[in-house]
Amino acid sequence: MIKNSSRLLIVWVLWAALLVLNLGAIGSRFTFESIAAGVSAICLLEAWMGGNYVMIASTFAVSLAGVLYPPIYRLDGFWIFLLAANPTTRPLAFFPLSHWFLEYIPTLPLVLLLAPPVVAAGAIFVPKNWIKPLIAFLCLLLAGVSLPVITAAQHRYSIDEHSNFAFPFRISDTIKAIYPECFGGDDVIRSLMHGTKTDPKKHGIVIAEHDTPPDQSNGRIAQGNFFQPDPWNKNEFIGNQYWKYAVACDGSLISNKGGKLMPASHVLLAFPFPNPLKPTLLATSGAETIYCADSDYWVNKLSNYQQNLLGMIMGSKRKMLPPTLVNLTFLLATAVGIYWSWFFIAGMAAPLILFFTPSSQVGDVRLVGKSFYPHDPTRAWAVLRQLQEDGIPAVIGELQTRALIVEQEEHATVIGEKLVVAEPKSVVRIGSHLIEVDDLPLGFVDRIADSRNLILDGKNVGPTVTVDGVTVVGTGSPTLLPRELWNILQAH
Amino acid sequence: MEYLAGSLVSSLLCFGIGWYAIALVVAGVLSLTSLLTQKISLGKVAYSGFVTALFSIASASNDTIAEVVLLGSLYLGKVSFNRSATTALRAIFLPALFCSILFATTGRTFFLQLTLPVLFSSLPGFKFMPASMKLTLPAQLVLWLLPLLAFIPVVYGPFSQGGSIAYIESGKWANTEKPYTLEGLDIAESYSYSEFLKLIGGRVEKVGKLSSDVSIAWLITPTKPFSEEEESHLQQWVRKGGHLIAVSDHTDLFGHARTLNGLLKNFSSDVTYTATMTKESRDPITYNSGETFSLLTGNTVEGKSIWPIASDLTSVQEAYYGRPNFFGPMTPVGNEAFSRWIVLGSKSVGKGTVTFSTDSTIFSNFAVFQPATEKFIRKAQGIELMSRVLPWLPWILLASIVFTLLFTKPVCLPVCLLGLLSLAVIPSPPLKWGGNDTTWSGDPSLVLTAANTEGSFTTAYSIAALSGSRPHWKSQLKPNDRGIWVSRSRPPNEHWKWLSPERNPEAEIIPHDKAWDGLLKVLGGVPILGWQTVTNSQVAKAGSIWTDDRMGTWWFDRGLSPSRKLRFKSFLNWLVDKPIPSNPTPYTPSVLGGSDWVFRMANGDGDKLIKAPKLPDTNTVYLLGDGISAQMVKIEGKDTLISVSPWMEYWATPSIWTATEK
Repeated sequence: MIKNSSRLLIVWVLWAALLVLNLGAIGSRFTFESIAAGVSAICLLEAWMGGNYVMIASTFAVSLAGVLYPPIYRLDGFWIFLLAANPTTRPLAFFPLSHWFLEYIPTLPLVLLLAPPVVAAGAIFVPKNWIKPLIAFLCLLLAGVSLPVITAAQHRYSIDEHSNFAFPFRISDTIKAIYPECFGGDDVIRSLMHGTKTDPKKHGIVIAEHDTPPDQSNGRIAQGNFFQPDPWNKNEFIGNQYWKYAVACDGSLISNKGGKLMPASHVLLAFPFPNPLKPTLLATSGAETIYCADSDYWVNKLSNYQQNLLGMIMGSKRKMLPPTLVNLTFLLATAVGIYWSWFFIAGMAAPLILFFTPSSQVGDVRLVGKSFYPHDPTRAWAVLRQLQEDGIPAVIGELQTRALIVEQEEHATVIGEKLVVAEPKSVVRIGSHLIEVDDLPLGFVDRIADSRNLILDGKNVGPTVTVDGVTVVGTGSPTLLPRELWNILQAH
Repeated sequence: MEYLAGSLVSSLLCFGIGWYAIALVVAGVLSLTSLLTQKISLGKVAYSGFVTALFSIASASNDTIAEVVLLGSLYLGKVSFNRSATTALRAIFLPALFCSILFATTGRTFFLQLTLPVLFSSLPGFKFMPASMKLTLPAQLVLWLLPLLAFIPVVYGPFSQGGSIAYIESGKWANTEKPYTLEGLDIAESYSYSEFLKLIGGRVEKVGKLSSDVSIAWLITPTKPFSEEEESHLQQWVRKGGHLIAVSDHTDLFGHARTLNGLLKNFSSDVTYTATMTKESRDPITYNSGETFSLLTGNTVEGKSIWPIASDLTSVQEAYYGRPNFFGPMTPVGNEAFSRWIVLGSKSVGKGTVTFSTDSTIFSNFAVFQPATEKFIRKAQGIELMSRVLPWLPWILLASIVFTLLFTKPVCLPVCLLGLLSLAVIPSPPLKWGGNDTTWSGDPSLVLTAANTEGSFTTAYSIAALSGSRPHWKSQLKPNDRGIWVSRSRPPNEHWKWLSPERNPEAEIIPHDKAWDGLLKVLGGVPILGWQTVTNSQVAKAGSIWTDDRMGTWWFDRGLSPSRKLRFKSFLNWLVDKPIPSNPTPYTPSVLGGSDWVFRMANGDGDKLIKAPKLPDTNTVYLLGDGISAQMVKIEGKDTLISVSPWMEYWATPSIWTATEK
């Protein structure tokens, strides 16, 4: 129990901050990440005041990882480590610990939101000598529970396809191309929008849509719709830590209007705005079946933009393994480090796992940018959506890609691509050559709409140029480019 | 109670974008009182207020670094607060100072942020001076006077704008050539600035001809680039005391923003190639004084030391050059967050001033007489003296900080004076209203262009000047005033003509598809309520007669249909007591023969077969009544009747239908 009043004040301030984080900062990503950065900064300050160099170094490294890669803030292991590292903040480690346990236990959504702060508040008054063994025990228990749970998440699916839908609106080729390892099994992915006739008792994934007919509600899907506020990449979610992490990695949840889900014992993803205590349920799970509220991010034209979340839903090891290993490392570092503080240094290794675990996607197009809005009428982020609508089933990836698309004001280096589409004020490096894209709109030039001048090694070369076998196009409206330019993808 | 009072102060400061002057005065008085009474509780009040305000203001700004720093300072302040307010203030002083200098040097945000160190330095108990360091009384007096340097720039420029007003024409978009008349009313006439030019009493002038007898020059959305000589001449004219008002609009339309920026680079500022999107449709913008009004879609301005006269909480979207009018989806996408931007601001350049307005539409013929436009023009033509102080402010702030560091006394007086100074304005020259103009008053929401709703007189008001008598909106009335009273409630006395949105029960119900339903009425012989039956010389119950649902929008894209022109004419005549023309007469059966016609609806409703009279085979546009015009044309060798009225009259997707004889 903490007796120093100033330390106690800090603990309660942190408790309040964690409460806000647990409520998904009422749906604001900026607030969520700002508070998360603030909490980790306070943890660092406390470590500094403690004077233990190992603690300072490890806390600094982990806090820095959060600032550099904010999706990691969604992992409970991150907070368990940071909070447990310092005696002052240690009782608050029960906050993420209890949240993590609740993910495995059937609970109401409200319990998931309010139980962790109650547990953490109680822990503040627990005698100091109880805290250490409790945290160490719970960390080891969680690590033990997590491994089989993650292993069990891997399923193999088949898709209940309906060819009466146009290609862009079907759940078919694109998702299979992204996650071939998740297909070829008995579990079924079926969409109510497509009028599935599959036996509802079959396990798998059920995808709802807005305006769901009453006869398809089946006790899990409610009548009614939800809308996601714009802009999507400013929204924060609550629910399962790995799902939140995946959405943060994707940049946004690709869903504008969906159906409503009934309250369930396992909430996987929910949106906490406007009332965090009555969140909009976006994904729940029952016995061997996952329910998603919207089909947008499943269909061909948009699934490219939600690769991380889809991988997490289907249990792709490629996507699940990196954050799981990060979490386990944090747990072990905490469980041991709490007794032998020098072992906290192991926590520094946890974020590095993300960089050394292979999760890159083989694909057709590499997309460099941060706008995360695929419905944009003309901009770079929407090119893949446009291609799918034109019947070109291209996949966004980082490896073996044929085309590179660079958003406004971004920098990119060509790695084997043969086509580069670059927006204004972007910079592209091809070997030893540097290409800058001018901002001045030139209109329709050489069949390039909204063309922009390219500056190759300081010289104006017009809106298109070929350098070392790579064709580069400068435009402010990449979705309006002539279709044949993308034939390079079909050849692939 | 301290926290409650603190919240009050913070609320004022958070509102600071609109109410900064009052907030400054309150803060100064509070600090002064605190100093005199030596009550530390007031210090706590100020502390909690300022800390909350800091974060709120930083959130409203566009500076993430500042937000992070202020978040840190909030924490440090909190940690220290349990010791004393003084310690807490010290803890947040340095980060706040850092932020303020950051703001000052980058020029991205608002005055209030720049003055924060002054505010902080004015708080009680703020002592950095070593106990051993004492200054003599004369030295103290000198340092006391140091912050008053702030007022030197105020007297640097001219104190009146007594010269003439020029309108610089440069390009095809913004010109004053087209007069505003009912005959030939189209988009070019309604977007011309001919009425604006009369209202400001200006004359058209070339840039190179600007001379010292011109005190104000308007430059609205130029599309023709200026030569170097012209740029140089304009710059010199401003530096010598001229007041340039540069007006931009959304999305670099017709390349005007790039043209303007070619000029503005000489004044260390630029307009953005963006369109603004308010959170709710038509959210009002806010003047410094706290008053609000609505603009249409504009852009934003950036630059060092621009003093905000009016600002807007808006999201900005960059121009989409691949789309019509360069508009994007007009919903926040990507990283487009809401923050506060200057929409009317001015900066001091040499002895002169450059004022920026980010919307040009309000100066157009159809909008220039709007109730709020007159004030906007006056605000743009006036010069708020704080704009002269702003470029000097960072240095004045540094001087104030030095002063505060050396002394135990805060600088309450300059803080109060700065607040008062911000209220001082060199007034705009008067606008040119004439004896023939008509006073309008009543409920302004019924005529505001930005609030185009059913039951309002937006379009009617926008064309009122076509009657030959310009509408002059007055909110404050004198007993002898008379004119047009537009409101649901009765006019103040019987001398007013009353234009009421009240709808006569017999007036027709507005159909979903105006063209189709209107045609059915005409062909079916349904009587249409005439405007003559609901008006007399003094009172017009004009709901569904002259309200927007019948008059259409003010966007006269391709001109007026004959029936719409007739409806306009009836309204304009009523305004000036001329005889009101009768309703358009529908076709009579004598003109038409009997035949079955198949109507094909463009909106996907499928074919409709009606027994309809045969129309004459000609290419003349026919007036069918009720706003419906139609034309017989040959399509694939067949006589075809097409409706043209929605196409011609409404700013919406045309619901064209075609009819062919069965």
